[in-house]
Amino acid sequence: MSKPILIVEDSEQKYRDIERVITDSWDKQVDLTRASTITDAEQAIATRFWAGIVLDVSMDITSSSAGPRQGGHATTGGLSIARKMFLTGRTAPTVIVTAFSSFQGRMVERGRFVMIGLEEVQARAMEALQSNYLGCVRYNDVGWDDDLIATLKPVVEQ
Amino acid sequence: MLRLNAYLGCHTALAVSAPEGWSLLRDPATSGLFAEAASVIEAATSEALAHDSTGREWINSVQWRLRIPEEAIRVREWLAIVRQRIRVTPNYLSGINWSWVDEIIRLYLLVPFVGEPDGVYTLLLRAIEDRDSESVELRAAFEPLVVGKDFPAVISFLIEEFGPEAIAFVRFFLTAENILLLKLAPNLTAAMSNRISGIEECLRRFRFGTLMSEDQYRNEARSLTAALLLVNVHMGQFEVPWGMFKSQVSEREGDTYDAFVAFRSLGSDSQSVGRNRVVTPHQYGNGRVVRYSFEARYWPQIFLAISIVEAFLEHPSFGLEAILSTRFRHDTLRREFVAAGAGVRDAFIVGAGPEVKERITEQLGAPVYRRVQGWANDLLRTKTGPSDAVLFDLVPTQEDVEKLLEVTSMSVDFEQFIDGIVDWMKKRLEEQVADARLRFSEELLPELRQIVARERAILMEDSSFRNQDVTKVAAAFESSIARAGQSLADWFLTQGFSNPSPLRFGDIEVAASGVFESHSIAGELDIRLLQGGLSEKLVPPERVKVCFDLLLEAFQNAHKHRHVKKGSIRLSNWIDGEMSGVLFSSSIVYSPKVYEREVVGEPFESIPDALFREGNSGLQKMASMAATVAGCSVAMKVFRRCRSFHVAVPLWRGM
Repeated sequence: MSKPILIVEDSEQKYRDIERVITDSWDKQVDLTRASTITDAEQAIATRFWAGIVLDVSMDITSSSAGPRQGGHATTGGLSIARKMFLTGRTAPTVIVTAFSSFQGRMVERGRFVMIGLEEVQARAMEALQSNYLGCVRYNDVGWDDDLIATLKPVVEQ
Repeated sequence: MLRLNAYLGCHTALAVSAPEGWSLLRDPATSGLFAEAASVIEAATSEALAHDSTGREWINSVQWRLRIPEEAIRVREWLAIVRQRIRVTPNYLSGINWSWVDEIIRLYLLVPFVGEPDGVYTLLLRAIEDRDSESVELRAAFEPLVVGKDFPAVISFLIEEFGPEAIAFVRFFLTAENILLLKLAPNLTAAMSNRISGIEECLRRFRFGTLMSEDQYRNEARSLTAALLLVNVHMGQFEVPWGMFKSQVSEREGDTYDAFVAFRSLGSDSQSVGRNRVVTPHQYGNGRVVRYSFEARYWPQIFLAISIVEAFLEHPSFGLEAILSTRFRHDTLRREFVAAGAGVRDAFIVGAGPEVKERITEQLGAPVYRRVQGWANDLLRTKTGPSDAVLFDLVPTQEDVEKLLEVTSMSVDFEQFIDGIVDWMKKRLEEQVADARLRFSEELLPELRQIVARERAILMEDSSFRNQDVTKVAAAFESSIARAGQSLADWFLTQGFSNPSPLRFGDIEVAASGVFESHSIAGELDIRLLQGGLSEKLVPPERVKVCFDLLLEAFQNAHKHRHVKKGSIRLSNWIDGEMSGVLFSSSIVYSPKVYEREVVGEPFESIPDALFREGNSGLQKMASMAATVAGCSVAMKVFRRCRSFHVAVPLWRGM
């Protein structure tokens, strides 16, 4: 029976690349579903079982026909999804795939927002997902596709 | 607690009931150590706090009441006390034991809070204390309370449930982003518009006060105007609402400035210790470290100046880091090019079938889009180290800080102090944005043309496509990318908010109709906008919001009075004597009642006038808004027919 995997990804190109990498390796072993906004992702996570989740960090909030970014954008929206999973008791093994190394975070020091780096993103994802955090893959780095497969392997081949 | 005890020399009701005061005594007391003494202290403290004689002991009184349910983990009781006894007071701490709340969440997840008004109120208090407008805890707990409600119903619920503190929910929690996440608006403009309408509804009920002053409301209205001005792709993405920034800094750093002034008045200049040179490395939010060397007496002033620069660098909405990441790097710039490329794929090109167009544009586009993203990633960043070859750097050097010291030393008040720093940042930002525009136009765009030419040559050699198809599609693609590039060059502009340009009425129409996006998609309301003619009329920035509100009112009425399922509203040019404007024609439920009448409107004279004017509803409200846009009294004509409703709204003198 194929494993249901949710790919939370707003970028069309990146989604296609992730989809290709996963299906090239496992094809019939996985059943891929895409959520291209935070609201879609939260809905999907709240209503279905997922054997694994591939999670982007910077995400569109909702879909809108009002042009680019009119649906709103959250630069660390993926982490909010992870946090909400923890708060609502929804768990699934999750791998983060991001194209960026720094993000405008909400962490405040003396009431200020700071940019957060990939390490901070990983730390927060680990805090939210705990043992379900599989790792972080830097999209488009050399060998990112191999990293993704290696990280997802325990989920698909379990 | 320990400090208070050391200071007072004994336990007092004030010390014991201070936040976490009792918890220090609790463990020894429960293990039997000085149990008798503890019970005496407890009784004395309860007695002392029974009556708040000064009106300033509430925080101790609350802590004292909270200790029992806290120890017994009676969460609902604890939440009820919090809501009953602690009022929303921005800039003050409640003393709530948030570590205990974290522990509850760790143990029970969000269960005690979800869908519970007491729970969401407590999480709101925390979000305000933490200055966390993106609290996932609060949003997740709030969600069940708004399921199935539209935004006005949510506001009504908040007003009914939380009274005057409803405005705190709107101000601190219902940001445009959270409104979108809660699915209470279809797009960002609608979300911003909803936010401000929520604030206005609360203000109409509870008036201005500590939770929302007139100045704060004015800033909110400016944010919406700023967002509306940005709907045009030709608007510069580096435009910063400096006025809003200054007032925010003034509010946040005012106390620091007062402390600095007090320190200055001590005359530390004359003391030798003040003349000691101190070298301090300062780390900025992006990781950049700069070592500054100044005499000790200047440091309070330097810290304040640097904190203002940092406030701009890190501002979540329009700070430099936010602009570069959200408006450029995070796929935004690339998507504009992708949209331009998609236009070619969908265009009619003689001889080239849909599949051919799609495959050719895909092959041409992939390297182009990659390069755009690469360019943005590489250059549209702030400098983090000396060898970083990026386009932006607003971190002041030693020499810059010396200049800032000089400028701010002459300031007579905090406003002038902020002006000095902001002027320096604006000048520097303008230079860097101009350079970025040059690099975009003279380096990136030619490079994209070369990439298209190279890919076209590869496609020509490949026998997968007919050469004539490749030639036609590549030409269209190159033109489309070039056109997009020319428009997008205007993103690299800074002027605007200090002297914002007027907005076309047509652009405001598009933004207002976007608020009804979900109604349009559901087929509930068909909006036909003004074509040509008066849609080119310019609306000055200070009247953009009222014009937007006028359109919303018209669309809202059309939706409210539509046929059972489907409604429509059509806008057309309307001219009557010296005045020109818009005729709104909407379909309505059949009624034999037919009439014509005139509604006279006078311009709003102030913000309170616009919010609280008597009889300010329906058509009268529209007439007043039209008069404000026109800048003079207007007479709106209303025609009711059996199945249609027409309102002729004068908006401009002359054609």
